[in-house]
Order: sequence, then structure tokens, then C-alpha cells
Amino acid sequence: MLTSTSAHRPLSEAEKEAIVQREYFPAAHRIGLITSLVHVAIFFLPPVYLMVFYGLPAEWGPILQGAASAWSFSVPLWFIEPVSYFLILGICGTYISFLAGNISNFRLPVSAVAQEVAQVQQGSYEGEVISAIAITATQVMMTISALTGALFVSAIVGALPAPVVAAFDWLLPSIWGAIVVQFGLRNWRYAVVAVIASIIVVVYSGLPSWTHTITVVVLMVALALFMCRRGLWLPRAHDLD
Amino acid sequence: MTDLSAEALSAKAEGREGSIILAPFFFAARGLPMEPEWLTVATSPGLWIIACVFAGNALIQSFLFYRLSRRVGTRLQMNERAMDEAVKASFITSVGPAFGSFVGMTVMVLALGGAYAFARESAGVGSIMYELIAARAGAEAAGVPLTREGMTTPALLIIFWVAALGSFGWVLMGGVFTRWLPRIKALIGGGNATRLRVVSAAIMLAAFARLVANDSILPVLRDGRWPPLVASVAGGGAALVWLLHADRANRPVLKEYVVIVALIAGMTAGEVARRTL
Repeated sequence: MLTSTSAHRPLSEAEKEAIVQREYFPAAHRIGLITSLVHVAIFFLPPVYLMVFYGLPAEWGPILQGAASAWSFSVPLWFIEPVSYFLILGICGTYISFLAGNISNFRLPVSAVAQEVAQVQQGSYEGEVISAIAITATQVMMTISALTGALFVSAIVGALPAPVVAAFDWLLPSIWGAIVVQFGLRNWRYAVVAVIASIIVVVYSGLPSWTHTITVVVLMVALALFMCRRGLWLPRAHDLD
Repeated sequence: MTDLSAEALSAKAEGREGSIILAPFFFAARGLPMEPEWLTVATSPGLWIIACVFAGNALIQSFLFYRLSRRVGTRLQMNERAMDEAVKASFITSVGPAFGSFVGMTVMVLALGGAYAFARESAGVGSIMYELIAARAGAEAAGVPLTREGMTTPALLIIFWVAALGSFGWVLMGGVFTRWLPRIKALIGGGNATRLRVVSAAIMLAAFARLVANDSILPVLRDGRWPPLVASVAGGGAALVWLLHADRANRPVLKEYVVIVALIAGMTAGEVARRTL
């Protein structure tokens, strides 16, 4: 499934790397940088629009007071999340995910499922390409969903039976469980350790919540590197096919 | 959030929700007697155009990345069908989260108007939780309640500023620093594909185990609330059965549906647990 069935000689890893380094990364970084910088400017259009078209003055005192409150939650995540998720999302996936959000509920599950379906290895160049393709497709879905929601959410939610609407409270926990199992299937020891470590960090550590993800990620990376160096807990041969 | 839900119910009871639904279709109707002034501003044509610019830039970026990835995938001799399957799997997997996000938007549409909700959900932070935190912080700073009746146009301006200032860093950091992130990959992988694969899986497990601990296990330990954990276990159990079935049947394409299957099982079990436990 991974490579073409055409008569081409299979590419070596060095040839793949040369293609990716020459044709993929430079173009991806150029597209990512330009569209992201444009998007930063777009972020400020709504308040600027209100100021220019409605003549509203900006009250900087309350604005900075509110921003400080938001920053206390968001600033650590600006730095932590790209580092934490980069290996899963890949280059293009990271640019898209940090431009348009919805990482844990859309991007990560979609990237994981697409790589599983396409039978490519995570962290490989093929995995990078499949992840990028899958994540670009989510953007279309998200735009449709958000536009429909903005226009018709009240009517549609109102038309659904109350128990169905109530059940959406459990949508995210259901996804979290499914993804842990999906990755735990081939790495069950890591899954057990990750859940135990997360319980300790989240429930008992007393650390501020914005440090929880990066703490567990660093612990698990350290464990994985340690185990790989010792040749322990490695995937079975048929899992690497 | 409670006051907003109450507000939503109250609006529904009074039959006012129609004005929210139809607001974008009445661009020229600014100043409708039924609508508060801030909502007329929040659903103005200008703000809808800005929302389309938000969504448009994200779609253009995605299109460019899609084209690039397909081209490079072909150069890497990847099977075209595998790449098509990735798109299909993406759409199928997105259905559940898209509907969840859709339901979650109710609060935001009622609080800040459809145009802004569309902009921020399609191509902003995309987290209802962040948006509500920012909106509440802005409303508090402006000295108004975050309700339909309490909102004012000057407060809306403050909320827009707070939300933008609080979140532009995600885009800036992603845009500027992603080019250096492959060094982390090289540092961790060191040219060893198996090690990179194990580390990638460990990171994924760390991220999602933390979410399970926070959203499903913590409520049980702290408040004795079981439904989130029941949903996670049922979702995970359904995923396990489905994935094993796909492997045994040697039909990897079935894995595209794993999230939908898990959602149906998890949401049903969670709701049953809420009503029975």
C-alpha cells in the first residue's frame, strides 16, 4: 500500500531524504510562514473593523487587563504545544494546526487514523505526507461545520432530541479513550505507563494545569529513549511492516 | 456558562432564536427592533466578510499544502490510492468531532454572534474553552455580563481585542518556529526509524492519556462523576474491538470508521451512566 506498484526502482532512504529536503521542506516553510504572518494580521481585523467602521475607541486599560487574564492561560501553550505535537502532526500539519486550531479533537485523531489506514509508519516521510494530506482535508470539514454552526446551530440543536444533545457532553472523553487504545494496541506498556503518569501529574502533582501535557510528554519521551537504547519494549517485527 | 445556557433557553422559550439563525441573511437589517445593538454590529456584513477572510486564508494554506504533499508523495513513489484513502479517512473521522464542535458553538453564537463564531471556530484557536475564557475575561474587564442582554458594543470591542491578543501567539509561534522543529525530530530520532516511531507513539499516548486523566479520571476522583470515564472506557473498548476486527478481517479500510464507532459507543454509554449512576 505504501509504495507505487509501477516499474520504478524503490527509492532508498537517502533518495527520499534528498527529495523531501529539496522539494518539500523549503516550499512548506515558505507557504507556512507567509500564510501564518498574514493570519496574524487577520486575527486583529474584527476589533480594528469595529474601531474604524463604528468609530469605537479602544479602551486599552480594560483590554490589557482582559488580555493579561487570557495570557496567563495561553502564553505557556504557545511554546509548549508546537514542540509537544510536532512529531505527530509533521511540518504542514503543525502549520495548519497552529493557524486554525482544533488540535486534540480534530487534527491528532485524524492524523493517527489516516496513517493507520494508509499503513505508513509514524515519523517516516510517508507518514509526514499522509498526515499532511489528512490534516488539510480536516480544514474543509471544519469550515463547513463552523459555517453551518454559525448559521443554523440554534435550529438544528433545537430539533435534536434532548438526550442526543446531552450525549455530546461525552464526545471528547470517547475520542480520548479511542485514541489511547489505538496507540496502546501496539505499545500497551507505554499506554499503561502514560495513563498512570498522567493520573499522578494531573491529580496528585499539584503542578499548574498548563504544565501537565508537557510534563507527561517529556516523561514519556525520556522513557521511550531509555527503553529504545536498552532494546526494550520495541514494536514487534510485524508491527513495523 | 450557566447564564448563557439559561439565556439560550430563555431565548428559545421566547422564540427569539430565529433572529440569530437568520441574522446573516439580513445584512441590510441593521437596527432591527428585535435585536440589541451589539448583535446588529456582530452580524454586520463587514464582520461576515472578515470571517470569510479568516476561513479563506486557512483554506488557501490547506490547499497549497495539499497540492505540495500530493506532489511530493508521488515523487516518493507512494500509492495514489493510499493518499486518496487518507483524505477519505480524514473526512470520515472528522464527522463526529465536527458535529461536536457544531453543538459546542451554540454558546459562542449566542454570546458573540454567528460571524465571529464562524471566524474563530473555522480558523482561529478552534477551542470553545479558550474562546469562552477570553470572552469572559474581556467581559469582566469591560464590566458587563457575558449574556445577550448584558453585552454592549464597546464590550464586544474589548472582547475581540482580548481574544486576538490572547491567541495570536499560537499562529506566530507556529508560523515562525516550525522551521526549526525538525531539529527536535533529528535529535530524538537520530536516523533510527524504530526509535522515532516509538517516541512518536509515546508522545501521542502522553497527550491523550493526559486528556483521559484530566477529563475522565479526575471527575471520578474529585467529584464521584462517572459518566466521562464510562464514555472513555466504552469508546476505547469499542475502538479495540473494531481495530482487532479490521486486522483479523485484513480490511484496514475499516479503520477509517474507528472514531465514529467509538463515539457512538462512548456517547451512548456516557449518557446511560449519567441517567443511571
